[in-house]
Amino acid sequence: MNNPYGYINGRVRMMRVALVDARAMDDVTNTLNYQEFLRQISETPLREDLGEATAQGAGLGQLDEALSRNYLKAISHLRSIATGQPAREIEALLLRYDLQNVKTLVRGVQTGRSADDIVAGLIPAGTLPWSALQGAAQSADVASLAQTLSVAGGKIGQILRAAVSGGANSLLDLEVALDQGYYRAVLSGVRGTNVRRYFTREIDVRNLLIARQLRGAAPNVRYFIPGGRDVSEADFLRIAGGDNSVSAPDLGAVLEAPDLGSSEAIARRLLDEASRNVAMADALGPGVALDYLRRKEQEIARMRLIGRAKFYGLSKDELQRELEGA
Amino acid sequence: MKNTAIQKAAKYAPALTVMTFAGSAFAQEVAATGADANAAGLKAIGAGLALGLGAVGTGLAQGPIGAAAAGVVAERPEKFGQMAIWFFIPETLVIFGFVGFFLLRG
Repeated sequence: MNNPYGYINGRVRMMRVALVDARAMDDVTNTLNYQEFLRQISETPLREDLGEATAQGAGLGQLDEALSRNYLKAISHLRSIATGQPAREIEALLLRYDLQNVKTLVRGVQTGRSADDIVAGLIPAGTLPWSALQGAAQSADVASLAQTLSVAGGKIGQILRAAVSGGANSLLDLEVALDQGYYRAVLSGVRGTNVRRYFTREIDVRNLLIARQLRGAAPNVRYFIPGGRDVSEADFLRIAGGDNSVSAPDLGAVLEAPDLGSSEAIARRLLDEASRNVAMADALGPGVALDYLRRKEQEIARMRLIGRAKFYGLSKDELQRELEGA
Repeated sequence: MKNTAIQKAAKYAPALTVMTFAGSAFAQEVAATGADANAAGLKAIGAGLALGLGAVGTGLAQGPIGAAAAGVVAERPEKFGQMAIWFFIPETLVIFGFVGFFLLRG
């Protein structure tokens, strides 16, 4: 009878109100240069965390730091307001950032990038401690990276270790193994029907993107992520073989896009829509938090993109194109 | 599972007690016999139910509203007034119960 999400979602909804609204985002996008951009974001709710980013001579490094600080603060705040089962469900939602961070680490370590470069691409969210991620960025190879992350704790580190022990060595193998483990962990961690429906949609979309990526090579079912609703194993193999038909009509757009980049942009829009729907349908469940996390992530990503565009003097049209893909 | 059932029962026990004793208390006041006594007793039970069920309904509605309102006010204290209005709206149920109670008593 007494649902703890009544209180939690009341707070999360108010946190959502504090996000940069569409009008303010347009004003920031339409600024003429970097200085005006900084002045404009100083009038948004992000101002509290801007710190040195607005100081004389400050650059993108300070801006990134400020945005990361704001992001971390928002995530920590969200984690602090839930206890018991809701806290476990929110932790399961935060695994998404662990997944993204571990993928960034794997890519960075495999391609031999410097630790600083890798750390710059990490998201200051998730359940893995920041110090553990920084330490993992210094790994010499994927095996030692997996070892470091599994010692640091967290489900994704263990999944990576299991994948490496299982013989996965190519980037695609590792990423798919991480995705499979992540969705297994999330689906076992969240109980609400609406949120589970969202994740089944996300799995379908991910399967379509992987199948597209596999076109031209021999289709292999080991890259299929179980748990989806509209894309079966047979559909996956068929799509990887070059077929564009899929049972859910709205998913067809992902396959019909001219290139993988456009497919990913369409997939992101589909998932944004799904997360908004789940936030409305799941008024007394973790759907509201899921939607908030997506919106916050997008806010920070867009601000970073706009900041870079203004700093390097990109035209309005170029920026618009970048934002559409973000 | 068993504990949860007991907790749920305990939550409704005060309202149930009010309903039971309000009815019998008023029933005792009626000093009449035969049909009059029956009618008076039924009216008293009705009055108790009107008030008690109204109170239970208000409680059921105010629980989730109060939790959400507390969440909102924790983030934005300036919303207290607005949230108080939402919180008090279910009080109308118990007021209607009171009206029924006095009508039956009168």
